[in-house]
Amino acid sequence: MMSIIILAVLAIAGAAYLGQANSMVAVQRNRMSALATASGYVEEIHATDWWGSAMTNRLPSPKSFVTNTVRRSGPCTWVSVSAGVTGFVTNNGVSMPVSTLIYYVDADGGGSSYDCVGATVSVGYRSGLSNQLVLHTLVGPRW
Amino acid sequence: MKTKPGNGFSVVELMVGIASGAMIALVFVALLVFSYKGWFRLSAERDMLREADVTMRTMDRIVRSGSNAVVTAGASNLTVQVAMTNGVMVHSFQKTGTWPTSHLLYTPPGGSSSVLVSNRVNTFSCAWYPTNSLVTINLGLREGSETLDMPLSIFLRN
Repeated sequence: MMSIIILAVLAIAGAAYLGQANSMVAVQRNRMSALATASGYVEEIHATDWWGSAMTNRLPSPKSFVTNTVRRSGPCTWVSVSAGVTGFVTNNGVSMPVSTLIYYVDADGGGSSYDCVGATVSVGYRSGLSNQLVLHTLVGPRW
Repeated sequence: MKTKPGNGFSVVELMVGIASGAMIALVFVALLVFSYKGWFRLSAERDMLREADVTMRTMDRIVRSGSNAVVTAGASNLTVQVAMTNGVMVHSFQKTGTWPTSHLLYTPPGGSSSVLVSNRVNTFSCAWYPTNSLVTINLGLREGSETLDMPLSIFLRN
Protein backbone atom coordinates (compact mmCIF):
# COMPACT_ATOMS: atom_id res chain seq x y z
CA MET A 1 0.00 0.00 0.00
CA MET A 2 2.79 2.39 0.94
CA SER A 3 4.64 1.72 -2.30
CA ILE A 4 1.49 2.40 -4.32
CA ILE A 5 0.99 5.73 -2.52
CA ILE A 6 4.64 6.70 -3.07
CA LEU A 7 4.42 5.79 -6.75
CA ALA A 8 1.17 7.72 -7.14
CA VAL A 9 2.76 10.80 -5.55
CA LEU A 10 5.80 10.43 -7.82
CA ALA A 11 3.59 10.03 -10.87
CA ILE A 12 1.53 13.12 -10.04
CA ALA A 13 4.64 15.18 -9.25
CA GLY A 14 6.36 14.02 -12.44
CA ALA A 15 3.33 14.76 -14.60
CA ALA A 16 2.89 18.20 -12.99
CA TYR A 17 6.58 19.02 -13.53
CA LEU A 18 6.53 17.91 -17.16
CA GLY A 19 3.26 19.76 -17.78
CA GLN A 20 4.67 22.96 -16.28
CA ALA A 21 7.95 22.65 -18.19
CA ASN A 22 6.05 21.97 -21.41
CA SER A 23 3.82 25.03 -21.01
CA MET A 24 6.86 27.23 -20.22
CA VAL A 25 8.63 26.04 -23.36
CA ALA A 26 5.46 26.79 -25.34
CA VAL A 27 5.37 30.32 -23.87
CA GLN A 28 9.05 30.85 -24.74
CA ARG A 29 8.37 29.56 -28.25
CA ASN A 30 5.56 32.09 -28.72
CA ARG A 31 7.69 34.81 -27.15
CA MET A 32 10.52 34.15 -29.62
CA SER A 33 8.08 34.36 -32.52
CA ALA A 34 6.60 37.57 -31.10
CA LEU A 35 10.10 39.06 -30.78
CA ALA A 36 10.88 38.11 -34.39
CA THR A 37 7.61 39.73 -35.51
CA ALA A 38 8.21 42.91 -33.49
CA SER A 39 11.82 43.15 -34.75
CA GLY A 40 10.53 42.74 -38.30
CA TYR A 41 8.05 45.57 -37.78
CA VAL A 42 10.83 47.78 -36.43
CA GLU A 43 12.97 47.00 -39.48
CA GLU A 44 10.07 47.89 -41.75
CA ILE A 45 9.48 51.12 -39.84
CA HIS A 46 13.14 51.99 -40.50
CA ALA A 47 12.76 51.01 -44.16
CA THR A 48 9.72 53.28 -44.59
CA ASP A 49 10.23 56.74 -46.04
CA TRP A 50 8.05 58.61 -43.52
CA TRP A 51 8.90 61.94 -45.11
CA GLY A 52 7.95 60.79 -48.59
CA SER A 53 4.61 61.87 -50.04
CA ALA A 54 3.02 58.47 -49.46
CA MET A 55 3.62 58.46 -45.71
CA THR A 56 3.64 62.12 -44.67
CA ASN A 57 0.02 62.02 -43.56
CA ARG A 58 0.80 59.13 -41.18
CA LEU A 59 3.02 61.41 -39.15
CA PRO A 60 1.70 63.47 -36.24
CA SER A 61 1.99 67.25 -36.55
CA PRO A 62 5.41 68.54 -35.58
CA LYS A 63 5.76 69.19 -31.87
CA SER A 64 2.14 68.17 -31.30
CA PHE A 65 3.20 65.21 -29.18
CA VAL A 66 0.22 63.36 -30.52
CA THR A 67 0.63 59.64 -30.99
CA ASN A 68 -0.69 58.18 -34.21
CA THR A 69 -1.70 54.54 -34.42
CA VAL A 70 -0.94 52.76 -37.66
CA ARG A 71 -1.67 49.35 -39.09
CA ARG A 72 0.69 47.47 -41.39
CA SER A 73 -1.15 46.72 -44.61
CA GLY A 74 1.88 45.39 -46.49
CA PRO A 75 5.67 45.62 -46.51
CA CYS A 76 6.53 49.20 -45.45
CA THR A 77 2.93 50.27 -45.99
CA TRP A 78 1.09 51.75 -43.03
CA VAL A 79 -2.48 52.93 -42.70
CA SER A 80 -3.74 55.29 -39.99
CA VAL A 81 -6.31 53.65 -37.72
CA SER A 82 -7.97 54.36 -34.42
CA ALA A 83 -6.11 53.56 -31.23
CA GLY A 84 -5.86 50.05 -29.86
CA VAL A 85 -4.91 46.74 -31.35
CA THR A 86 -4.15 47.39 -34.99
CA GLY A 87 -3.89 43.88 -36.30
CA PHE A 88 -3.11 40.26 -35.64
CA VAL A 89 -0.31 38.01 -36.80
CA THR A 90 -0.44 34.24 -36.61
CA ASN A 91 2.64 32.53 -35.28
CA ASN A 92 2.82 28.87 -34.24
CA GLY A 93 -0.92 28.64 -34.82
CA VAL A 94 -1.50 31.40 -32.23
CA SER A 95 -3.14 34.69 -33.17
CA MET A 96 -1.05 37.49 -31.64
CA PRO A 97 -2.37 41.07 -31.29
CA VAL A 98 -0.10 43.79 -32.67
CA SER A 99 -0.16 47.51 -31.95
CA THR A 100 2.05 50.05 -33.73
CA LEU A 101 2.37 53.65 -32.59
CA ILE A 102 4.13 56.52 -34.36
CA TYR A 103 4.95 59.76 -32.55
CA TYR A 104 6.96 62.91 -32.96
CA VAL A 105 10.19 63.31 -31.03
CA ASP A 106 11.55 66.83 -30.63
CA ALA A 107 15.12 65.77 -30.08
CA ASP A 108 16.66 69.24 -29.82
CA GLY A 109 13.73 71.08 -28.26
CA GLY A 110 13.98 73.56 -31.09
CA GLY A 111 12.55 74.14 -34.56
CA SER A 112 9.28 72.92 -35.92
CA SER A 113 10.82 70.46 -38.34
CA TYR A 114 10.74 66.78 -37.52
CA ASP A 115 13.74 65.88 -35.46
CA CYS A 116 12.84 62.25 -35.64
CA VAL A 117 9.99 59.82 -35.51
CA GLY A 118 9.54 57.50 -32.59
CA ALA A 119 7.79 54.19 -32.92
CA THR A 120 6.56 51.58 -30.50
CA VAL A 121 5.60 48.06 -31.55
CA SER A 122 3.74 45.78 -29.14
CA VAL A 123 3.08 42.11 -29.79
CA GLY A 124 1.12 39.97 -27.36
CA TYR A 125 2.41 36.43 -27.00
CA ARG A 126 0.09 35.26 -24.25
CA SER A 127 -3.26 36.37 -22.91
CA GLY A 128 -3.01 39.19 -20.39
CA LEU A 129 -1.77 42.74 -20.74
CA SER A 130 1.52 42.02 -18.97
CA ASN A 131 2.44 39.41 -21.55
CA GLN A 132 3.21 41.88 -24.28
CA LEU A 133 6.55 42.32 -25.91
CA VAL A 134 7.26 46.01 -26.58
CA LEU A 135 10.04 47.42 -28.78
CA HIS A 136 10.86 51.11 -29.17
CA THR A 137 12.84 52.75 -31.94
CA LEU A 138 13.70 56.15 -33.40
CA VAL A 139 13.91 56.99 -37.10
CA GLY A 140 15.74 60.08 -38.30
CA PRO A 141 14.90 61.95 -41.51
CA ARG A 142 16.60 60.76 -44.68
CA TRP A 143 19.07 63.13 -46.21
CA MET B 1 -10.32 -24.38 5.44
CA LYS B 2 -7.45 -22.40 3.84
CA THR B 3 -4.48 -24.15 2.42
CA LYS B 4 -1.42 -22.73 4.12
CA PRO B 5 1.88 -23.04 2.27
CA GLY B 6 5.07 -23.16 4.24
CA ASN B 7 5.43 -19.37 4.58
CA GLY B 8 2.03 -18.91 6.12
CA PHE B 9 0.21 -17.21 3.16
CA SER B 10 -2.81 -18.71 1.47
CA VAL B 11 -2.77 -19.30 -2.29
CA VAL B 12 -5.29 -16.51 -2.79
CA GLU B 13 -3.19 -14.09 -0.75
CA LEU B 14 -0.14 -15.10 -2.75
CA MET B 15 -1.92 -14.48 -6.08
CA VAL B 16 -3.24 -11.11 -4.92
CA GLY B 17 0.28 -10.20 -3.83
CA ILE B 18 1.77 -11.20 -7.17
CA ALA B 19 -0.95 -9.28 -9.10
CA SER B 20 -0.39 -6.18 -6.96
CA GLY B 21 3.35 -6.40 -7.47
CA ALA B 22 2.89 -6.74 -11.22
CA MET B 23 0.58 -3.70 -11.31
CA ILE B 24 3.03 -1.64 -9.29
CA ALA B 25 5.86 -2.67 -11.62
CA LEU B 26 3.70 -1.80 -14.64
CA VAL B 27 2.86 1.64 -13.25
CA PHE B 28 6.53 2.20 -12.45
CA VAL B 29 7.64 1.26 -15.98
CA ALA B 30 4.88 3.42 -17.51
CA LEU B 31 6.01 6.30 -15.31
CA LEU B 32 9.60 5.86 -16.44
CA VAL B 33 8.64 5.69 -20.12
CA PHE B 34 6.34 8.73 -19.79
CA SER B 35 9.03 10.74 -18.00
CA TYR B 36 11.71 9.75 -20.49
CA LYS B 37 9.56 10.58 -23.53
CA GLY B 38 8.36 13.83 -21.98
CA TRP B 39 11.86 14.87 -21.03
CA PHE B 40 13.23 13.90 -24.42
CA ARG B 41 10.54 15.96 -26.14
CA LEU B 42 11.23 18.96 -23.92
CA SER B 43 14.95 18.75 -24.64
CA ALA B 44 14.27 18.57 -28.38
CA GLU B 45 11.99 21.62 -28.20
CA ARG B 46 14.60 23.58 -26.26
CA ASP B 47 17.15 22.61 -28.91
CA MET B 48 14.77 23.93 -31.55
CA LEU B 49 14.54 27.30 -29.75
CA ARG B 50 18.32 27.55 -29.59
CA GLU B 51 18.65 26.49 -33.22
CA ALA B 52 16.10 29.10 -34.30
CA ASP B 53 18.00 31.81 -32.43
CA VAL B 54 21.33 30.84 -34.00
CA THR B 55 19.79 30.52 -37.47
CA MET B 56 18.15 33.94 -37.31
CA ARG B 57 21.30 35.63 -36.04
CA THR B 58 23.39 33.91 -38.70
CA MET B 59 21.09 34.98 -41.51
CA ASP B 60 20.77 38.51 -40.12
CA ARG B 61 24.53 39.04 -39.84
CA ILE B 62 25.28 37.59 -43.26
CA VAL B 63 22.59 39.54 -45.10
CA ARG B 64 23.84 42.76 -43.47
CA SER B 65 27.49 41.99 -44.17
CA GLY B 66 28.09 44.65 -46.80
CA SER B 67 26.69 47.58 -48.72
CA ASN B 68 24.86 48.02 -52.03
CA ALA B 69 23.25 44.65 -51.71
CA VAL B 70 21.65 42.91 -54.64
CA VAL B 71 19.20 40.30 -53.44
CA THR B 72 17.64 37.39 -55.27
CA ALA B 73 14.82 35.86 -53.27
CA GLY B 74 12.97 32.72 -54.19
CA ALA B 75 10.62 30.15 -52.75
CA SER B 76 13.45 28.16 -51.21
CA ASN B 77 16.57 30.19 -51.74
CA LEU B 78 18.09 33.56 -50.91
CA THR B 79 21.16 35.00 -52.58
CA VAL B 80 22.77 38.21 -51.38
CA GLN B 81 25.46 39.96 -53.34
CA VAL B 82 27.15 42.69 -51.35
CA ALA B 83 29.82 45.17 -52.34
CA MET B 84 33.03 45.12 -50.33
CA THR B 85 36.08 47.36 -50.55
CA ASN B 86 37.93 44.89 -52.72
CA GLY B 87 35.12 43.44 -54.78
CA VAL B 88 31.84 41.65 -54.50
CA MET B 89 30.82 38.82 -52.19
CA VAL B 90 28.00 36.42 -52.93
CA HIS B 91 26.32 34.52 -50.11
CA SER B 92 23.46 32.13 -50.55
CA PHE B 93 21.00 30.17 -48.46
CA GLN B 94 19.19 27.17 -49.84
CA LYS B 95 16.51 24.97 -48.36
CA THR B 96 16.61 21.37 -49.52
CA GLY B 97 14.13 18.56 -48.94
CA THR B 98 11.00 18.63 -46.86
CA TRP B 99 10.58 18.21 -43.15
CA PRO B 100 11.67 15.96 -41.37
CA THR B 101 14.57 15.50 -43.80
CA SER B 102 14.96 19.15 -44.72
CA HIS B 103 18.13 21.22 -44.45
CA LEU B 104 18.96 24.89 -44.62
CA LEU B 105 22.38 25.26 -46.17
CA TYR B 106 24.62 28.30 -46.36
CA THR B 107 27.17 28.69 -49.13
CA PRO B 108 29.90 31.21 -48.25
CA PRO B 109 31.44 33.60 -50.81
CA GLY B 110 33.58 31.75 -53.32
CA GLY B 111 33.14 28.55 -51.39
CA SER B 112 32.03 25.36 -53.00
CA SER B 113 31.18 23.56 -49.78
CA SER B 114 27.94 24.41 -48.00
CA VAL B 115 27.48 24.67 -44.28
CA LEU B 116 24.47 23.21 -42.50
CA VAL B 117 22.54 25.96 -40.70
CA SER B 118 19.45 24.03 -39.61
CA ASN B 119 17.96 20.61 -40.14
CA ARG B 120 14.56 21.36 -38.61
CA VAL B 121 13.30 23.66 -41.38
CA ASN B 122 9.60 23.31 -41.99
CA THR B 123 8.97 26.39 -44.14
CA PHE B 124 11.32 28.83 -45.84
CA SER B 125 10.50 31.62 -48.24
CA CYS B 126 12.01 35.01 -48.99
CA ALA B 127 11.04 38.22 -50.74
CA TRP B 128 12.98 41.31 -51.80
CA TYR B 129 11.47 44.79 -51.97
CA PRO B 130 14.07 46.92 -53.77
CA THR B 131 12.12 50.18 -53.38
CA ASN B 132 12.47 49.94 -49.62
CA SER B 133 15.70 47.87 -49.57
CA LEU B 134 13.84 45.32 -47.49
CA VAL B 135 14.37 41.57 -47.33
CA THR B 136 11.68 39.46 -45.71
CA ILE B 137 12.34 35.87 -44.72
CA ASN B 138 9.69 33.53 -43.40
CA LEU B 139 11.45 30.79 -41.54
CA GLY B 140 9.51 28.04 -39.79
CA LEU B 141 11.09 25.27 -37.74
CA ARG B 142 9.39 22.14 -36.52
CA GLU B 143 10.08 19.59 -33.83
CA GLY B 144 7.57 16.78 -33.58
CA SER B 145 4.14 18.36 -33.69
CA GLU B 146 5.38 21.75 -32.43
CA THR B 147 6.17 24.53 -34.89
CA LEU B 148 8.13 27.75 -34.47
CA ASP B 149 7.50 30.62 -36.89
CA MET B 150 10.29 33.18 -37.14
CA PRO B 151 9.41 36.02 -39.55
CA LEU B 152 12.55 38.02 -40.26
CA SER B 153 12.68 41.42 -41.97
CA ILE B 154 15.98 43.11 -42.72
CA PHE B 155 16.36 46.70 -43.89
CA LEU B 156 19.57 47.00 -45.89
CA ARG B 157 21.01 50.47 -45.42
CA ASN B 158 23.19 51.22 -48.37
